[in-house]
Amino acid sequence: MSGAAALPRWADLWLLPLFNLGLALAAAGVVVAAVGQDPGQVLAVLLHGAFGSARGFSYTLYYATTFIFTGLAVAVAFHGGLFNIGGEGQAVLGGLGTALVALWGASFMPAWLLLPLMACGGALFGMAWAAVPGWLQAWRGSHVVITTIMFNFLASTLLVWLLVEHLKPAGSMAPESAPFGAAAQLPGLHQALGWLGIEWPASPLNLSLLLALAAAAGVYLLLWRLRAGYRLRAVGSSPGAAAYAGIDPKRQVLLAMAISGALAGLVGMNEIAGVQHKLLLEYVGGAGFTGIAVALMGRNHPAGIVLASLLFGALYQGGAEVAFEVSGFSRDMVVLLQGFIVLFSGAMAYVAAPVLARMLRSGAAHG
Amino acid sequence: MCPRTGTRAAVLGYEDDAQASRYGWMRNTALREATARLMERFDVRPRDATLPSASFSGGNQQKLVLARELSRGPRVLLVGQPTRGVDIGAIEFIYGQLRALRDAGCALLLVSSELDEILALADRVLVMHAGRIVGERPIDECTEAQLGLMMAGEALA
Repeated sequence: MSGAAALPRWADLWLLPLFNLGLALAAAGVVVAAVGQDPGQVLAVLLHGAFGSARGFSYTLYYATTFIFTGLAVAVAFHGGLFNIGGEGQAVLGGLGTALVALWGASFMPAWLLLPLMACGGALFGMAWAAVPGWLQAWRGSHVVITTIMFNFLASTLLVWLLVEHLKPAGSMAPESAPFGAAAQLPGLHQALGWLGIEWPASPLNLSLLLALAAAAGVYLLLWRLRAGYRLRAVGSSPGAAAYAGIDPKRQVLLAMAISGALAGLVGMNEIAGVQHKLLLEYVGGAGFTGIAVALMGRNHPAGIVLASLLFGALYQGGAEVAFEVSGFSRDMVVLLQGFIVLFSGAMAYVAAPVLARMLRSGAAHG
Repeated sequence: MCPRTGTRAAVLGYEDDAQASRYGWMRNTALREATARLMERFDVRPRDATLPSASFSGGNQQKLVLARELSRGPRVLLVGQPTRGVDIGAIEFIYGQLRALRDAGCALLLVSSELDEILALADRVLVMHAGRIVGERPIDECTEAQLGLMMAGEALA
């Protein structure tokens, strides 16, 4: 922290993260060169794949939507002094809640009523799934890191059991629910833009992007503008001081985990309601864990998380293009790049701060 | 805004007050201004209400906490080692504030290990030894030597 304090605010917020990102890219470039590929070409293909076409950019935004939800989930828990590793499981439960509402209501409810209810279902299921570890930590002293990890496994086995034993239509072999009716399908962005008369190529990108941006704004208002958020962050900064001031840390822990879980649960709107239109296995695909990297990279601030989600969305989409275009380059190389980003932006976020501060100071002295 | 600023520390425990929040929303600008005024009055240095409270020196953190509590005109105040780590000029100021509170009718329970501080502030002194109160004196009957003996467990009639 002392290194960060020496940096001016703009450098701490912009220069340092960009510098760390540059380091991560450079380190990944060295590895790419070492396996006999041209780093410049790989980067060009990656950038073009992620941003070069309307379709590619739509995919980038589609991936980013999920990361915004899971990144915000990690950030809210973090501000409450908790490390929520359970975004994955909470997102699985969120998809389950979304799907149950969809399967129940699609035959008799209009879309304008059903879709908000599905979002509520997803948020509530995610909330409940996260509240249990929160309660265990606050009242029973079980560490939330351990319990949320375990709850990830419980969530995935619960989903398998429900799909195989209860939700799979009779006669079907695949562990999937019946497809949702039309009212339960969240419109794609290309459809929504089509209503406005704007041509846009088809992609999985859907209206839950707007929900994600609203959630980011909501998290900002909660944490920095509302009294409830002040209490939550007070407990996160110092449970002892907060308790002394009359704030009950236990309730705040439960609240932070519940809100965190609700945000992760909204992943179901993007993946289940927006793309798959049925409940199936493995639709979260590690996004809950990527959310931790997104929150680290975004400094646990909603604006930073939106930008970091865009970056990770671009890596996912661009990485898929690279794996497709460049022979001998597997998608695992993108995982490697993500690993470098977590390493340089998360674990070693402040390593470069003293060097940058010295450079800025000498630059100011000469200029 | 940085999460652990002096402004945030200066309102901790009083976030329900009308000056601090309204309808559940924090009044951040008003709070920052109020904290800046308190910092001026209590000579907290540096005078930056947006600085993280952990970045202040111990004495200035102490002044910040005292500013938070004293400025609200409490009717009862429990205060322990109020001037530990605080510079000499500020000590006199804090003493003045505590005396003014007493004169305004606030019940003050002061705990201190500084005999000078007790002799300067107290009206009535209770001395503890080994976890028990071993004697009580009005301030005009207190001398440093006598208090010292009582603290060491010497029973005095």
